[in-house]
Amino acid sequence: MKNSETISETDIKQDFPIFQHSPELVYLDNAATTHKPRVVIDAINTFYSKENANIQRGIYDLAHHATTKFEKTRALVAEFLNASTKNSICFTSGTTHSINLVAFGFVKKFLSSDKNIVISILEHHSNFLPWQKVCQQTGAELRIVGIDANGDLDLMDLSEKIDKKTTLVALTHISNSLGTINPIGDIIEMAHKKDTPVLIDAAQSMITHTPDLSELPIDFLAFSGHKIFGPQGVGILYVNEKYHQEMDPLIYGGGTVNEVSVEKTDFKMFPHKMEAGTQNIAGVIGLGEAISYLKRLDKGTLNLKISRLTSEIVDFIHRLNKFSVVGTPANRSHIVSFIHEHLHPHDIATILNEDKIAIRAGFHCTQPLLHELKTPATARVSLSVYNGENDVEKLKNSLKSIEKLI
Amino acid sequence: MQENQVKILYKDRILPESLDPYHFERAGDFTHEFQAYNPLCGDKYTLSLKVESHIITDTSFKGIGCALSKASTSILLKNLEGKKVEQAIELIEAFFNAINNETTLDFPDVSFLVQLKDFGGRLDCITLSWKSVIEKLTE
Repeated sequence: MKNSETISETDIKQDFPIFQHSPELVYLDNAATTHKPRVVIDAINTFYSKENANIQRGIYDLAHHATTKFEKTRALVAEFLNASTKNSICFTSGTTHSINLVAFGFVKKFLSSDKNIVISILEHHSNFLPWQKVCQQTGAELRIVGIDANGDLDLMDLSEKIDKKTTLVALTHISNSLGTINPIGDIIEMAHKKDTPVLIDAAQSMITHTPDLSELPIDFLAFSGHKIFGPQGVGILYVNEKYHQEMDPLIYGGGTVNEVSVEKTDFKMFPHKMEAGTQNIAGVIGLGEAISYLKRLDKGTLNLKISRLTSEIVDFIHRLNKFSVVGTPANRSHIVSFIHEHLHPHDIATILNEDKIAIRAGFHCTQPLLHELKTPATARVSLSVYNGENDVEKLKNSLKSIEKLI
Repeated sequence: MQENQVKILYKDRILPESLDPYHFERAGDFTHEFQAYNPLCGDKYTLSLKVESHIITDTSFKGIGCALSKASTSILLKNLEGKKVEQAIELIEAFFNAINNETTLDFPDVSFLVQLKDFGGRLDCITLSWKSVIEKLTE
């Protein structure tokens, strides 16, 4: 691993210990979680082995060092996103936690029976259930934007659904089921023209389509560390400065206050008022290392490779007789869903597993979408920077062998 | 499980059973109707039994699921017919004991299902309808 140089395509697989441990593994479930490069594992190991201390409250070297590393990661995340201040970055347990903070710590207090929230049918349950629940609790309307026959967001429908009573538009950047890349620039412009803030669920987009906040005026942005080579259990909520004051904590406890008396509490400013209790310090440090790794990747080349391999998979499945691709969006990311005319996706995944190919099967936490598509489940492959032509060839051979089974 | 054993099992046993399942969507005059549902994967069957004088005289099922759960349900229903309720409960308990490696099982069809327990993450598919039937019969 070269720390200061750009990491080329051929170097990548050797950076991930799992592929040395399981050289035959064809890992195509990157939308669920990515593997961890050695630098991330080492950073977590180093923290627990040599640097462990709780942050902020200890007046000794270890605690000071832990606090510095933790806060440096906040600055690193801000820089990665091109956010104007590190104080817009709140550490959470993941995308789900981040979205729930916005739903119940911000949006809920502005909702009433004459207001509405706009989401889409493409959403992961994590960007669906919080809004369904908050609308049920307040009597507000949950408006769900549809998709066209290709799986692209219906922008006309979106435009019609946003009105003066819309409190928030909450949409995914990339569909975790169909791979659709939503045009978030146009969506934000459309919503802001109607003075409506926008939350972007960027769980699937941070590696290949990292939003640049200096160009995209996103109000709330949520993503997870473990889908960008970091550890599980850590995520990010970015909140635009204009909403910091109005963000309320959902969990109350240590580390969030300036002053507490029997009568009242004076909370710290965002993001610190949101981060109650002992934080996932090793997780945050691991996330920081993952972002540093990500920044060293030759993104242009790797995005082209992912795009080429994804197209190759789509074209191949189109040519098979018994398989079909679910969703043919105009702009597709690293995700392809498909079905077989007789075999259930779970059976496809079991058979591929025999060939050491790891894919996901099911409804991918998008039940409303699959109901809309009238399919009970799909098989899904999702690529990342370490996948290569060899992985795709093995997948193609296995799918061919499944064709011959029936 | 050895290489290609999964594909062989699918080709020779699972797919023939699941593509032509026993009494699938068969109409009848049933005394018990209940669901087998796995919220983790969405497999959902409606199971129907006709119990007369403590004997299961007819069975049927309908719904959506994977080849494993469908084949397993098909084999289960085939083996329930003609049995007294107590015998059916004994069979299902013996099946779960075999799945848990506590005993072996001497029913050829059902023993084949027990072989599949080592399929990674698919035990729920194999046991789905078995759990629902024993819950219903022991109510």
